[in-house]
Amino acid sequence: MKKTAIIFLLLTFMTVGLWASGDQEAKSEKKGNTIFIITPSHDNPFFKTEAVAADDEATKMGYATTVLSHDDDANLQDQQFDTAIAAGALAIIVDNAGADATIGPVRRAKEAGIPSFLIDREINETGLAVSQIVSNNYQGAVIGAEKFVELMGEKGKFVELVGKESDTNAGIRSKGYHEILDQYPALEMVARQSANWSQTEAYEKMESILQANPDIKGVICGNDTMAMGAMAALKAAGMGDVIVVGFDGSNDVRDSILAGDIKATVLQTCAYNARLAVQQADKYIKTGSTGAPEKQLTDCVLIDSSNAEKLDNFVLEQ
Amino acid sequence: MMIRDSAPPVFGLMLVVFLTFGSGCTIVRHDDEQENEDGGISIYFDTGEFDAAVYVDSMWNERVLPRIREKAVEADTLFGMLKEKPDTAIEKYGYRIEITAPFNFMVSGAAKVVSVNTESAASTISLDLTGPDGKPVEIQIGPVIKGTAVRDSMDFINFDDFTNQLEFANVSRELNNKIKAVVLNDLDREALQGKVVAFLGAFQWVEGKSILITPVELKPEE
Repeated sequence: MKKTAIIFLLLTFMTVGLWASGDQEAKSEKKGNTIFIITPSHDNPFFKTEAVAADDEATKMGYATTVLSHDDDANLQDQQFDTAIAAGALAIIVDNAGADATIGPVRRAKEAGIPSFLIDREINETGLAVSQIVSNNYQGAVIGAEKFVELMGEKGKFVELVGKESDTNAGIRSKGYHEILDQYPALEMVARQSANWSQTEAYEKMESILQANPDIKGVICGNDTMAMGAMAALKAAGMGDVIVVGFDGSNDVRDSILAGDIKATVLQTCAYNARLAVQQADKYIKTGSTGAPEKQLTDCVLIDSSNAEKLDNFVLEQ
Repeated sequence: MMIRDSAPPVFGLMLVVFLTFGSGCTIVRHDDEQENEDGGISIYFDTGEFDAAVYVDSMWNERVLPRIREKAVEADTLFGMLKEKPDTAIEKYGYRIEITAPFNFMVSGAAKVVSVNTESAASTISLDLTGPDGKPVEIQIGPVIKGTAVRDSMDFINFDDFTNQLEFANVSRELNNKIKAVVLNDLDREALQGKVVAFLGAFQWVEGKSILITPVELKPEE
């Protein structure tokens, strides 16, 4: 009897509590003028560019912004979505921390009436985010691999350095590379290792791969920082003429291409995509529709000695 | 507890086995296995739920070929217009899947083969036909087929309809595989030199760059 009473009381409190918090959320939703911008770590210039471009575009349009980094930690991203929901954000612009892990928070935001606009990486679910402006990493990997094949003369031993295995783009890029590379029987992959997007790790991995394979002709990398690491290791081993191809279009690799070291990379138009997401968020806030399909692909551009000069901070001058 | 934990995967495996062998068609999941053989690196993201080969098979004859036959523009007309009035050509005949991508065109014609270029695995034939850039127009004859021109010319194949970009990419791969199987496999490459070929296909257009057609039909005239 006593127990039942306590449970009843608890249930009553909980219901009232839920009621109250729901009411509060509804009120704060109306109050906010803030767009949340959530990306991976700004230590990587790519994500910094993305965040700065989105911030700049939103500020220009008169919105307040909150810029956060989830550091590729899905739990941290969860908390940041909750913060945005509690603050009654007008919209969330996000380069997400995982194709599956992000489905939950985007759904929660939607249920709270807050639209999400995804940039760079997509999630494995449609109908939750308003826009998914996806960098066509696959197409980018294909054009990078086609250039690599051409530089290799369609034959010879090569190494692949893969990004962080849990990262969507690591998988997509590797698949795109192999889509092309595997069609050339005279190209022989002697090693394929993950260097977790890291320059130091790429240097170390490359050093040990070279001991077993001193006769390699090329290295294809899932991003530019790994390409920089691989190039440094090759140069240290007196093998600076090995063909290295990266992905991202960073200024470091641009300079390396201009110096004749790394041969090519692939640029994702991250600044453009970030601005486009904010423009669509603005339109959605004002009219209830973006006028665009949810999933939108943006193409990547090959960067080599012919156009590297025109590249600066992930923007290619026309 | 142990049994309950392992039960779902076993059931799932049985289901896969049933679906694979019980349905009468072979579902080849070579991607995952291949990745795992490569130094044990497992690739995240591919759900494996979508079979692009089946999808392409189901619409090659019913939708892809009819659409290209219906929409293809005669080569001389199209290349002339792309040279003189590219904006008009784009407006009338061009199609692109997104605003940062180049436009794609569908084209038909007949022309003499002036050279067969097989030193690269991505082999081509050069035609006695001048593109908007003033250079000979080329047709891909494989075995490696570059680009996504056929997929990207189809206004009924939209990225928005697929779970992720891998699925979308697989559609293009399977379209290219289909082309290899039905258009290029039986082609007598050595006999093409000097012959007139009738072609139907698609290409992606970038101003100033040469035209490279991906054929969906390619027949030497008798």
